[in-house]
Amino acid sequence: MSTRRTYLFIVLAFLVWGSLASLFAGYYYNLYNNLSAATQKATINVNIGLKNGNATITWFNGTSAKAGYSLLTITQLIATVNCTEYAGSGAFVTSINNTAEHGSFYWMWWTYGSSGWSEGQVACDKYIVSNGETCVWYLEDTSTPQLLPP
Amino acid sequence: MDYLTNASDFMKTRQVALLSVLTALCIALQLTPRPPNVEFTSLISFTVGVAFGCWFGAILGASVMFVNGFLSPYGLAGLLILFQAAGMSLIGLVGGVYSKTLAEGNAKWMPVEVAILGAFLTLTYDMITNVGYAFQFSLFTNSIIVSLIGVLVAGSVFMVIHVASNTVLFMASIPIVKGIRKLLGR
Repeated sequence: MSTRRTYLFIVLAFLVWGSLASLFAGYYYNLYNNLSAATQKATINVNIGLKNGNATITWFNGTSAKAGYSLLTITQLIATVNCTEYAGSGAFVTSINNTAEHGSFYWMWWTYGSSGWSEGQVACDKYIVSNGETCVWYLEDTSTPQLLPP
Repeated sequence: MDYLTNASDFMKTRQVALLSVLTALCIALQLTPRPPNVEFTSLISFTVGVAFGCWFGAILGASVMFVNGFLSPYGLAGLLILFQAAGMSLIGLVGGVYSKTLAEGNAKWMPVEVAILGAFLTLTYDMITNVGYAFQFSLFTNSIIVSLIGVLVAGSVFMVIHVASNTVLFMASIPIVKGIRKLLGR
C-alpha cells in the first residue's frame, strides 16, 4: 500500500474522530448550559399553551414547577397526558386532555425564544424547561412539507 | 432492430432492471422498523458503486432517498429530499471511485479502509442533511448558522450512532463486495 494512500486514510480517520468529538463537546456544553439555566431557581414559572388544530391557544401562564422538571412533567401538571415511551428516544405524547392524535395530526411541541418559534428537537421528557420559558403543544398536520409554528 | 436484438440496448435494459430491483430493496429496508439511524441504504449504495461503477451507485442512492422522502414514516421530507439524495448519491459515487483505486491498495487493509470510508461518508451525509435541516429551520428564524449549530448539537448523539453503525456495517460488507466483484470477473 502506498504511503500516500495510508496517509489519506489516517487523515480521514482523524477527521471523523475530531468532528464527532467536537460535536459531542458541543452537545454536553449545551446540556450543561440548559441544566444550569433551568436549575438556577428552586421554583420556576413557565407559560404552557395548548393548541388543537386551527383553534386558538389555551394558555396556562405562570405555571409553577420545580426547577429541572421536563416539559412532559410540567404539562402533566396542567393537563391529562397520555404518551408512549420509545426506548432510546423518549416519550411521545399521544393525547392531551383526551384529544388524541389522528391521521397525520400529531402533538408537536414548540418553544418561543429570541429568534421566534422553534420546533422541539428532543422528546418532551428529555427537555428541561427554563424559568420564564414559553412552550406550546400544537396538534398539527405533519403531512405538510414544512411544520408550521403555532 | 428492436431493443431485444440490439446488444447494447439490451444491456441497458438489464441495468435499468437491476437498478429498479436494488432501489426497491433499499426502499423496503428503509421502511422496515429499525433502531433510529441504523440503516443499510448507504452500505448498499456504496457496495453497488464499488461493483457497478460511480454513476450506478450515485443514481441508486439518489433514487432511494427521493422515494424515501415521500414514503418515510417520519412524514414528507420536503426540501430535505434534495439534500438526502445529494448525500446518498455521493456515497455511491465514492464507492465507484474507490473501486478504481483498489489495485493500488493492499487487500489486507481493505476492511480498515472501507470502515474508515464508511465513517467518513456517513459523517459527510449527516453534515449535508443537517445543512438541509438548518436551511428549513432558517426559513422561520433569521440565521442559517445559528440553525445549523442548533441542529448539529441536537443531532450529535444520532450522528454518532449513525457513524458507528455504518463503520461496523461497511467493514462487515467486505465479503459481499469481494463476492460481487468476483462474480463480475473484476
